[in-house]
Parts: sequence; C-alpha cells; structure tokens
Amino acid sequence: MKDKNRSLIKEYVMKWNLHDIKRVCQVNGFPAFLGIVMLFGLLSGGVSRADEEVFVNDFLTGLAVLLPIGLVWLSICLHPVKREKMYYLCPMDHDTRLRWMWQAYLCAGLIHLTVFLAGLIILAVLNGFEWRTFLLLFCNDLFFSFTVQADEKEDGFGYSLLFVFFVSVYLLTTDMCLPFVTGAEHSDTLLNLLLITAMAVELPLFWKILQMIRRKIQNAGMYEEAVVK
Amino acid sequence: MLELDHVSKRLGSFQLRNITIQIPTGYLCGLAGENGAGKTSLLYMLLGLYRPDSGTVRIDGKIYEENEKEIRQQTGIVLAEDLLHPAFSLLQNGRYYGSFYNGYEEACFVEKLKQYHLDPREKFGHLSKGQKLKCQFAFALACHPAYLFLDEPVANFDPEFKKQFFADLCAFIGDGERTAVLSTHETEDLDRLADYLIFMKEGEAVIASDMEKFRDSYRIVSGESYKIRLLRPDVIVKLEEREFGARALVRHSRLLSYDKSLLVAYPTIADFMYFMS
Repeated sequence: MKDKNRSLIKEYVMKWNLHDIKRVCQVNGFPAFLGIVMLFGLLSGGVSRADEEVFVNDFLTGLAVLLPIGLVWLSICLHPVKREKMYYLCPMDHDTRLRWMWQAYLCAGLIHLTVFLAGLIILAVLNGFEWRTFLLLFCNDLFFSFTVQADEKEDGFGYSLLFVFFVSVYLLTTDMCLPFVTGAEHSDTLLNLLLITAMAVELPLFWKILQMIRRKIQNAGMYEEAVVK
Repeated sequence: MLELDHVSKRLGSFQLRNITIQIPTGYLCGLAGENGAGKTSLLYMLLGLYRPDSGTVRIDGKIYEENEKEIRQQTGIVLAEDLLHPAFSLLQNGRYYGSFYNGYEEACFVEKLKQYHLDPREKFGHLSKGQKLKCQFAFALACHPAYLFLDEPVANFDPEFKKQFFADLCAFIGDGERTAVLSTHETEDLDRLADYLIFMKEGEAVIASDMEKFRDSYRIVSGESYKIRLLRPDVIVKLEEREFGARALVRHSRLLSYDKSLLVAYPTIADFMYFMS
C-alpha cells in the first residue's frame, strides 16, 4: 500500500459530500436531531431576554453552542465505524485495517473537539471566561466528540437506549449551562450542583459507550462481523 | 491455484457444505447455479470476506488469516453492487483505491475507461448500473491482478459490450498465468469460453471440474421413454417425460451404450441447470 497517498484527514473529508449528506439525512434522521437541538435552543433561558444588545449576544452564544453540535452530529452520522465493502477488499491485513479504524475514530473525535473548542473560544470572547461553565461544556463536548452512533440492530436495544439517554443528558446539561454562560443566571450553588450532577451521570454513561465503541471497532475489522452479523 | 479444501460455512439458514475445489492457474472458471444456490457466498469465501467455519481457502498456497495483504494485492474484483465511491469521479476513485494496490496503473485505467466509452471525470454515482460495472472491470484490470473475481456482471452489459468484455477476459487469462472466476446466469458464454465449471446447488458444489470432464461425464438423451428407461436406473440423473417421448440427463461412461434410436448429445450448462433444478 502506498501509504503516502492516504491520510486520515483525506479519508475524513471524503465523507463530506452531498451524496453522503443526503443519505444520512434520509436514513439517520439528522433533520429530526437538528429539530431537537433547535428546540433545546429555544428553551434556553438566555435567549428569551428582551434587550436588543443582550439578545444579539445571547443569539451568538446560542449559535456558538448549537452550530458545533449540529456539525459534529452530522459528522458522527457521516463517519460510522463500519466501512464500505471495498475497504475490506483492498490490500491490507487485518491489523492494519483495525489500526486505521482506530486512528480514523480518534482523528474524527479530535476534529469534533476542535470544532467545539472554536465554539467555546467564541463563548469566552462574547461572555468572558468562567472556569466552571467552561469545564462543564468542555467535558460535555469531549464526551460527545468521541461518540459513535448506536445501531439498534447491531448493538442491541440496551445500548441504543443508553446512547439516546446519553445524547439527551448531553443536550440538557449543555442547555442548562447556557444561562450561566450568558450571565442570565448567577447562582454559584446551582452551577456547582449542575456540574457535579452532569459529571456523575455522564461519566459512567460515557464509560459504557466507550466499551460499545471498542467492541464496534474490533468487530468492524472483519467484514463478516461488521456487515453480515 | 485457487483451492477450497472441505470448506463449510453456515450463513443463517443457508449453508455451504463441504466444498472441495481446485481451480488451476490460467483457467476461466464459470460459476453457475440457480438463485440462492451459493454462488456469491462461494465467491465471498474466495475473496476472504467470509471465513470458513471449517476447511481452508488457499490462494497460491496462502491463506487469508496469514497473508491477507499479499493475497489481496493479487485479486481484482467486480461485484454486482457499487464498490467505488459515488461522489468521486472515476479518476478520483482510481487514484484513491488504486493507492492500495502495488500494481495499479492510472494510464491503463484511463485507457480502459475510454475504450469502454466512459468519461474519467464523470462521478461514479452518476453512472448507470452497466457503466458502473464497466468502470469496476476497468479498475480491476488496471490493478494487474493474478486473479479476477466477477459476480454476475454480464447480465447488465449491452450485447456490444459483452463482446468486448469477453475479449478482455480472454486476453486477461491469455498468458496462462492468470485466472478468472466468473459467476453468471448467462451460461451460453460459459459453454463457449469457460475452462472450468463449478455448478452450485443448495450450498453444494455438484460439479467442480474442467469443462472437458463435465462434458464427458453427462449426456442429454432424447427419444422414447421406455428406451431411456432401459438404461441402468443409477445413471439416469433426471428423466422428463413428455406426451411424445422423453428427455433425460444421464451420467455417462464409456461402458454405457445407448439404443440407436435415441438421440444422444453433450449437455450444455443450461441443460444441466434445467435438469438439476
């Protein structure tokens, strides 16, 4: 294999094309997810404030949070662990294929995290830096960046439910954090409580999801395991 | 040489059973059988996409578990489904997937595409089914493999291209050092060109031999029913009685003699398929 002609970034970018985006929108219910995200956005306390200047600031704040979520979710849908059949037919041994899959997963996760970090920097510029909100949003984004989509048929109902629960908790805690970011809510106690609760719920959830991802990638190394079963 | 040694594989309710085949190098091997007989499953075993539950698949003496990369460097593939990236142009596809193959030659790919009246700048997803298969065939040839595996591409080709396809296939095996396995329902072409035949029925390789041996082993006998029945019952594979006379597939041997009034002919693969189904 002429490895110099291939790169993880190139493989990642390959999937960002109209054909695959259309397919994802049809199959993975991306518009439905985006709808839910927007609904969470609308429910955000900060955006409802009336003052025009504050409203623009809150709108930009919401955008800096919601846009990365939408982009990363689309990316997660576009980059499933299992690959196209041709990938299993190309000259590569099993270990190399598995290594590429791990690297591709990590590469996608790091790209997602970069997108989220850009959003967090915009948040800090707009609203000032507050370490607890930053920590909460960063941890949330970190977990979400390294998530892969669960498939009920492949992963079982339990994991699919776990995945939906994790995404819901992620969206809810992110949304609840926004009023603290914009300054609409000041209570230190509430923020501490939110931070502790979010970590207490999300950490074990993410640990379970990581185990699922590990199994998925391990299975995806073999065509039979990834596609047939 | 392609070898399957007592290979069995369960795939849900379907099972490939105890398949032993040796396809010598330089042969065009036809893979025939009705729908669901196991042709594609057998091809997937040869391609290493399915791993056997028992038995061994060897390509040039190598097994996928130990030499997957080396084996795949030697194989070209044309499957009935879309293998290349739909959003990429044919040339981009060639460059991307070709980067995996040591033998890939872009000039050869472009030349083949032009020969098949395909524009290298066209997106793969915009092609018709037949054009996609032509492109995959061109790509497979451009990788200069030693083994070519083709899963039912012929049905999607126009008659004009069929000629070109078989000419290229014959040229591919022409030097006697390369082998092609072609799964198809178009058995006339196999009758004409194949050197080796694998006939699958319900997950078993009923026939796995060179065409000469296949033709020597069976006869189609037509004539009056009672005269056919005079043959030993164990040689009659299947007898089909009609209003005026009968027709039978018979296991032939040199010791077998036929009544002079019976019409005895070599079977075609289509005849064989007809009687075996």
